[in-house]
Amino acid sequence: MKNGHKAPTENLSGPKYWRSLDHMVETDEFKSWLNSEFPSAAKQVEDAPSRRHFMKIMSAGFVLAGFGMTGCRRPEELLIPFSKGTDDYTHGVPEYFATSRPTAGGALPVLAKSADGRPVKLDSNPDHPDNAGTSATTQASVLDLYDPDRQKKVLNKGETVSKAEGIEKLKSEAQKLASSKGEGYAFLFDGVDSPSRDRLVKAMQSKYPKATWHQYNPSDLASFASGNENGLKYQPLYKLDKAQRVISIGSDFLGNESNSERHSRDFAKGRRIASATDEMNRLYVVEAQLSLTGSNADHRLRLAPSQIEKFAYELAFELITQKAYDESLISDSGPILQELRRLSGDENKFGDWVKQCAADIKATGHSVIIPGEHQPASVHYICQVLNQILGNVGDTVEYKARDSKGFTPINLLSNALNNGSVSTLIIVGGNPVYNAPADLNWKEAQKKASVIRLNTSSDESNQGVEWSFPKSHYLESWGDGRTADGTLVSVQPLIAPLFDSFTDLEFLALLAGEAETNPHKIVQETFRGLSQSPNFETSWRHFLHGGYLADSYYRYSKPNFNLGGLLDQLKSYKTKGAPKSDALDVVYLPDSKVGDGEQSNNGWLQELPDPITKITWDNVILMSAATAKSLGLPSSNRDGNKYNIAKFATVKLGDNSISGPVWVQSGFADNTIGLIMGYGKKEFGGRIDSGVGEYNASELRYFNSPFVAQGATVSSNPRTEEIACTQDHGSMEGRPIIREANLDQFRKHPDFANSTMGVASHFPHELPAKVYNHPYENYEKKRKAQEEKDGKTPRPIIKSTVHQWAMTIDLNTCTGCNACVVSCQAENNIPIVGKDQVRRGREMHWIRIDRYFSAPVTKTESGKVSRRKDEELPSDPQVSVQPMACVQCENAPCESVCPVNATVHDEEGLNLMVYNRCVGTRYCSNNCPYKVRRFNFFDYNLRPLKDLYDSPLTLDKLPRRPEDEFELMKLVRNPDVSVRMRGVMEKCTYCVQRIESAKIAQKIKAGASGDVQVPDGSFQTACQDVCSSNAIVFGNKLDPNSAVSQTIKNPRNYTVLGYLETLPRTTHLAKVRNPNPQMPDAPEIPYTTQEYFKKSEGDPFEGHGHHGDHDDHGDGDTHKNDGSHDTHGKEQAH
Amino acid sequence: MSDIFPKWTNKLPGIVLIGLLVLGGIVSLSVYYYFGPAYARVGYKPVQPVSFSHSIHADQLGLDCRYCHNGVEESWFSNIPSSSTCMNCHNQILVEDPKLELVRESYNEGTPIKWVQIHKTPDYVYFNHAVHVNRGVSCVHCHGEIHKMDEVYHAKSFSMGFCLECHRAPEKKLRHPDDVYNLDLTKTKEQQLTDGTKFVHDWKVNSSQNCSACHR
Repeated sequence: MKNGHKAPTENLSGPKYWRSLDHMVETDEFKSWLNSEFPSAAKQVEDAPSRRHFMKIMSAGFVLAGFGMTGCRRPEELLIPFSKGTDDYTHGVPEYFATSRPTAGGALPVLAKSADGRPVKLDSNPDHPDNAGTSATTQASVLDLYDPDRQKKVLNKGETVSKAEGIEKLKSEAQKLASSKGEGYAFLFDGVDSPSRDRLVKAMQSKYPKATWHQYNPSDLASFASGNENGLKYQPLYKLDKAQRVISIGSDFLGNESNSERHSRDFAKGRRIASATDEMNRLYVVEAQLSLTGSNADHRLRLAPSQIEKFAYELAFELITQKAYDESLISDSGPILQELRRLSGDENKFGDWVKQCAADIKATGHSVIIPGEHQPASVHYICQVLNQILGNVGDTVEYKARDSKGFTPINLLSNALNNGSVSTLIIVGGNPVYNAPADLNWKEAQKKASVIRLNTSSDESNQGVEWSFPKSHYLESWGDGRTADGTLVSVQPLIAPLFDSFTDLEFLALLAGEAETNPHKIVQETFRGLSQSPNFETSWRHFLHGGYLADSYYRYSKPNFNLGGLLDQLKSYKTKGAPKSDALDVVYLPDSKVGDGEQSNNGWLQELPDPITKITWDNVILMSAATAKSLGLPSSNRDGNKYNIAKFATVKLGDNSISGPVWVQSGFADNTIGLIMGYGKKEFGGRIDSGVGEYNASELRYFNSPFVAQGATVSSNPRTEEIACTQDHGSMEGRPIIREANLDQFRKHPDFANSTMGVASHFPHELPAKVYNHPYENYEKKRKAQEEKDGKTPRPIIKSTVHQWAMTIDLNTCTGCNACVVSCQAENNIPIVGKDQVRRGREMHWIRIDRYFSAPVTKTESGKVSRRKDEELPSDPQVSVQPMACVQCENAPCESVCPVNATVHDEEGLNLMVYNRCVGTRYCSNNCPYKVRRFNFFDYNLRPLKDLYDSPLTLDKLPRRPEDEFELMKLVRNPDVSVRMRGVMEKCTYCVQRIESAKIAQKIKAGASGDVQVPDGSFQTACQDVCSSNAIVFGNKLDPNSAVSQTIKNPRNYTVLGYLETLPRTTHLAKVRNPNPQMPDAPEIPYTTQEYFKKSEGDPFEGHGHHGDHDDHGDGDTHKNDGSHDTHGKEQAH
Repeated sequence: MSDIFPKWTNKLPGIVLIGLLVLGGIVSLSVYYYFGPAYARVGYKPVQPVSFSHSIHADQLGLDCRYCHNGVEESWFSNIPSSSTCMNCHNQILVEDPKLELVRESYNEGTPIKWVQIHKTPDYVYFNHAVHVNRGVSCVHCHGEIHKMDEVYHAKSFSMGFCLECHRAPEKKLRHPDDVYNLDLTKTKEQQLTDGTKFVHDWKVNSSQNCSACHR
């Protein structure tokens, strides 16, 4: 209001008012009279109104407006239909498109949901022949589309230019490329390829023969190898459903490696047992870090990363010695054995473990040996040889020749840049300044050429580049891809590009000087070539509709791994010495969530707890307790009574060093540290990831030792930090929360979960008293009473005879991969809360995965169970995971304490949460034995996470998320679910919106008929849909043929905290481990069960009878209270 | 000594008291009505950009509701027709009519017509048209005699009580799906009850009274 009101000009239309003639003509006399009589007032009229005055006037205005109560009227809202209607769109009906997400390991088929034109959720594509659910990162990728930090415009030297100018630039560059035949040009690609992209690259390679072609994917071994190594010449495709014995040599095939979805699906098929006669597969894992795969192992051997290859040789030695193969394949095994022994070193290093493992492989027909993706080529080679001689090739594994497509690694490119032979560098995807190995000094190398880049955001690599083109997200692009098994899948846009972005196909076609640069047409052209269909239009429509081209999978030929050359090959290998505390092994681990940093600006992934460490929003330096102790660091993650406190350490390797918080991890190899990639983005990160994580692992990574390095030293550092870890306590304290048995015990007692464990097994007849009254039972009483009294039936009570929903979660097949957590987050509009709030235990995930560690228990002399006091973490724990969401108790304890009836039961067995009734007393959460309720402490959707604690009392203006961010985040919301505000409790509702949609669809179909029961399998909950191993089964338990009715009948089915008589609708299927009794580390009983039985002084599975006097709910003498188990109780307990 | 206060002031306390009572009564009554569920915008009749008459189209000409609101049987949302739907007829009828100027402009220029929304449930209510019209709830049950309206107004209160009234006793309203768009259908109370009870039984109608039916 600094500008005064200007006098109206003569041109103003409408009547003009005056008080006198003088006024009208504005004589000087009138003005002076006005000034003299009311000098102060005149001053106010002439001067610009002061802020104070303005406030006075405005507040008076507001008061008057208040009397008119205009604020109480509802705002007028508009309905804006199309001006020209479309035939295939009905507003309000979600549309689904079969598309796929391109990743470095192969495209992943998805079914993307478009709600009124916005992609909001990715489900698995049930029609796809190789459908295996989706992963957490795929689920979260829909959020990347709406990332406000995406680059929005074409940049030339950092200045925004129009898209047309960008296209002109690429066209002129194509001419220069053509005239020079690519001389002085270098191309650097990320690892994501597709048939169309390959076609364009091939065209360019023949057109520009003098250009060089490189590929860099920081988590792919092939990016660091010449490609000629034996072992990297073939690419495996595992068929784990056929394998009875799976041996992982440093492989995290269920977790962090490519195609983990397929592996989980197939692996689960061998673990889903229902009766005593069912067979079960067995998993042996040899690894350094405790991976998701290792946590699911029946036998796990902890080895320093540099020693894993020795194990591979020793296993080969044993298998050959024990003649576990077709002996005609190797004629003279003597020299080979000698070489293998030389490589493996000490005969007794692995002792009985490897002998019995080999014997088990020999005894079983179908096995597979899986080398880790990041293991050296020699390990791949020896595993390929072993698979061949064991007859696994073509049975449990198939091999396809790897095609390097003319790409060479990034070190050659950096050499070329440094010697000046590259004048123009074209980078397609990737962020090499951030994640290239430190010894390449990529930041400087890149400056030596003029750089043209196709990139997602203005990241580290964008600094100083000549031209930068924003890259389209796959949900707004035309494209194609191949899944792991080679099936051709479509990538189709669900939305027009949000920004001035380019798809990689468009970008490459322009650079290739192609006549056709429309990506849609490019993909069609590729499809025309691949499908060979006489009727193009029909087959193209089919391709888009189903999302795949039938029968386009790779045809595998049986490769010959040249056993004749085996001896020479082995002779060329050398193995490494064991690590020491002053020369530690380093293992580089792509993060389980953000990978190598590509998705680090994704809030859903940042807040997702790591499956093993349960750490969010951070990367840590992992090491074992023994290593920490030997380095003079604390051997637990706490400081006195404060949990999750990490002390910093500085790691030095070569010339570089990094510092980060040390996290002591059970099951980690000794004298080894784990560095987690994907974090440590500083000023060039986005609003989520900048400043997250203490270090960038690439700064300590060298080209020649990309995944395992040796010779690191660690020194302590005075800093400490509280890590945002969602589960600090990893023990069940001997309670049967998770129930486990070994396979032979399961065979003897298929119903062990109920007959030998839990309170129910101690009270064979009836529980002494019920904690809660069952609502349905109450009704029966009421009905009887009233019918006796006046013959009338009271109002029908809440009990549907059509649907009663139930869920089972199979702990035997659940790997703990986290996909369900993110899927639930996407489906149910669950906000992220930020690191600080997670530290306070306020994370909002509706489904969490509890991860427990267990170790053997011994008894002290006094007969009491000796428990570790958290001083020493067990070095070789067994890991058990348990997904836990609201279990929908029939006798819900939360309902009886809600003062406003905001949480009530419905007739189909759902425990509902009525957000608009909730006043936020949090009584329900306090009374929930499963601790699955989540409270909105702040308005996480509206407020920036860093300003949550600001209020009108501390600030002039309430902080709000920036407009661009807020508008984009609105687009990802599921319109079928309310967005909750501050002060409201929320929790899992079994995806009630999906249930209601399915019921409505069925009723529409029924019309004037009584066919209202939703058929089994016609819809899935969000967590169930993504689950690769089909561990989650949901359905109508009134339908005797439904999948859930079957799983409920499984003898392993049990109720968590069943003694409370809450009668949950979600039940779990007990875990059965399959250890090999001959193995040296085979436990007689699973450790958690040992703990339970030892505590109750009962004999585990033999002659059940005496259980002693124990109860289910905690012990009280050695531990604080029940809350110590409750991983999320920190906040709710207050 | 003369009176300080005139005589009429003796009645002042009484007048003030009565005045306050009357005022309080008015305030209470208006709060009771206007803030209560019974009001809920009943009678709301905003001026629309095009003076479309349901009475002419649906009643006199006998157009089916679904000719324009064609999404009602599939979607939760009963769509407002696009301008091209209007132009299907009006490129031949009343081609020059000035009242249709906006419609023609919208059709030719591609600019949408901004209708004012009348019937609206709150954001936390997930009402679904499709399931109601497919299972025998007619337009008139919620929108009143909309086919007789020249200008559409809010005929019924969209309070939760209004919804529950039917959901508690669906037999009082339920029709055969064939009669849903027959807005003139009349039945005697007894007939309706007999038919309705039969429908509820035969079609296994379970009009949910649980919160999850509308709030998710």
